[in-house]
Amino acid sequence: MPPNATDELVQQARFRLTALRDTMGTLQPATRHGLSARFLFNLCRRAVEGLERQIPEGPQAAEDTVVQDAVKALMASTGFFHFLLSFVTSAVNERVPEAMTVPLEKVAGQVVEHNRMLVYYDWTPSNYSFRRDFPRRLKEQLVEALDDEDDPAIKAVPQLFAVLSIPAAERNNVLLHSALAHEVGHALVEQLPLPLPPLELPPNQKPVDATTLLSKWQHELLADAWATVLLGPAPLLSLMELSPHDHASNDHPCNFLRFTLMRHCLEKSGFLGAGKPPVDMEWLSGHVESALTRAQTSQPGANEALFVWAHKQLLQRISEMLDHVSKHDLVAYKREAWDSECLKRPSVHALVWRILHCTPPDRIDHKQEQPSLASILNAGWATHKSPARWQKFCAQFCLKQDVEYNSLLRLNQLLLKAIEITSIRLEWGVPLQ
Amino acid sequence: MILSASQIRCRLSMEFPRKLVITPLLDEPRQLSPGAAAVDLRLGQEMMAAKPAMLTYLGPLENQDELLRGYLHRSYLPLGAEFILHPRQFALAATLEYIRLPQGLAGHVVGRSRWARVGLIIAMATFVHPGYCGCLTLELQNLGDVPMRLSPGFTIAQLILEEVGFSNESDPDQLTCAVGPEFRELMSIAECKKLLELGEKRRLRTGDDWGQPAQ
Repeated sequence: MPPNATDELVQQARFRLTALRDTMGTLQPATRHGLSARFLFNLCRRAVEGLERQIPEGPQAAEDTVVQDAVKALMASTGFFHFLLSFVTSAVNERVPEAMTVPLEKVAGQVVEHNRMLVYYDWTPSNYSFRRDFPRRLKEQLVEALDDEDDPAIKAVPQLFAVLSIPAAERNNVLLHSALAHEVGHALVEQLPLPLPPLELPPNQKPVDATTLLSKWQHELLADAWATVLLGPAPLLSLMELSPHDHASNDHPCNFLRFTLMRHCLEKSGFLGAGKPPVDMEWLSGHVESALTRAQTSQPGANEALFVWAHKQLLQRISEMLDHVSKHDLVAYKREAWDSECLKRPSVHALVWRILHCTPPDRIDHKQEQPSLASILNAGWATHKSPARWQKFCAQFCLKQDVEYNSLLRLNQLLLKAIEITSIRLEWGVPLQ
Repeated sequence: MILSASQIRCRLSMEFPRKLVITPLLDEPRQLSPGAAAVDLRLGQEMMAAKPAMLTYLGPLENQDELLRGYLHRSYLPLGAEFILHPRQFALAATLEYIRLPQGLAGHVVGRSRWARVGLIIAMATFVHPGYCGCLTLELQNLGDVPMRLSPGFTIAQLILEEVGFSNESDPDQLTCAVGPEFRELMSIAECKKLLELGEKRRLRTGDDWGQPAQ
């Protein structure tokens, strides 16, 4: 091989790798401090450097090796997203059976089996979001790079490859990451379409516009419902922090509708309502009610008329969805016993207990069970939002309540450590106590 | 009195506020072996390696944020990942274990002899005050002649616990609940300024510039 052929080969490989990298956009593994930002890119670079060190048999083979290495690296990197991947899977595995009793266990199993979640930091100004077009673009790029649709690497890309983005500015704000449950909810809605009848339209609306709008809103609301099913109150609380605007938009319904729905879901799962919330959960009721009042009294948005029209119908749809989820699958399900059955489960008791009492990391080994990520996040929110607990937390760590940033930073660090300890114990294989 | 392994175990199972917390103990029988008088601690997942070329000098008046950005490079390693500590290199790390000492209990974090024999120093300021909570920051230095391969999860340190006189007062400085290596203020800035002013006065009085930093 002439000397310049090697250079050309490396150039070509670099070009391909750049294309792959661009496809992945600002993809970065979401680890604890976001400092593995260059991980993916370094893998690609290493592949090129490896090529420079040892040239295989021929140009094509060399290029293939590089690209395949990069592809493998991309595939491997999905396993590297351990923090939020485990966030999602443990939420599905641990929380769903607790909240929705037996039927969802099977559904959740399918979701985890066929679904691969990828979470990355978005360095552009953005919110938590669910990127539908990302998997398609990635697959097209991989097919082009490998030039073989039957390549095992391509087959390794799951059909539904959900990609979620986190605003980079919030990368260390674990509390807000509960909002990811809503994005996971989008993936679940796509995976488990419900046979719901179309909504009736108001008389003075253009049918196409209104249908599109309502369908988008319905998607959002179903995702909200799934979020509460997955994580309990945490997604609602993070949504309250993240959505200061109360107007309905073309993509999202207004907060009043979303909060109402999520409260409905929380009531169903025993966190709120039924006239007898646990005494220690009163802060949550008060918080939700005041947020609802704020949302209700805000100025109506451009699509408010449509919202008023659709309000009851959409709520009805969500109720149907929850019922459908509970009736789904083979296991018989008794509607009237739902709440009491849910609360009878020991694991739910344990979960509620932790939410009530908070779970700082120094108490993790104090419990009989390993706390789940869901319980840690809810404990964090309870600490932050319950005035009595917040005061206690600040006093315990000699933090000034008026310097909220420092206190929140500490709380987030503790939550991160709690999550780290939980993950390490699982990874290491420490038996549950 | 230094606590034995069984006494440490007993303290671990007490109720708050007398409870000693060391979590996670991934391999309790080994980390707290019978007959020992210390608990083995593991290297945590976060490292701060020094970049000497990025800083002219260090002092208590320097901006701490600037120090962090310029002098120390922070990285987060998953379990099993490698960190190479080169000869004479200095790095900050933390224990994997989150520790909470109750009042009436103090500790000394010291190296393990097997690592010390290959040249690894893990801590220079070793005393842990009663009431401390958080991960312990370790000051790593390789005194050997060859690079040393470290990985989060290695048992490189041990914590010796001893009883001290009980006090109800807690020191806010001990309640940092650090979850990784932390770089703290070297000393009170006011005190440091006062000392510098004294030096300046002496220089004006005697014309002696001894002790002034080189320009």
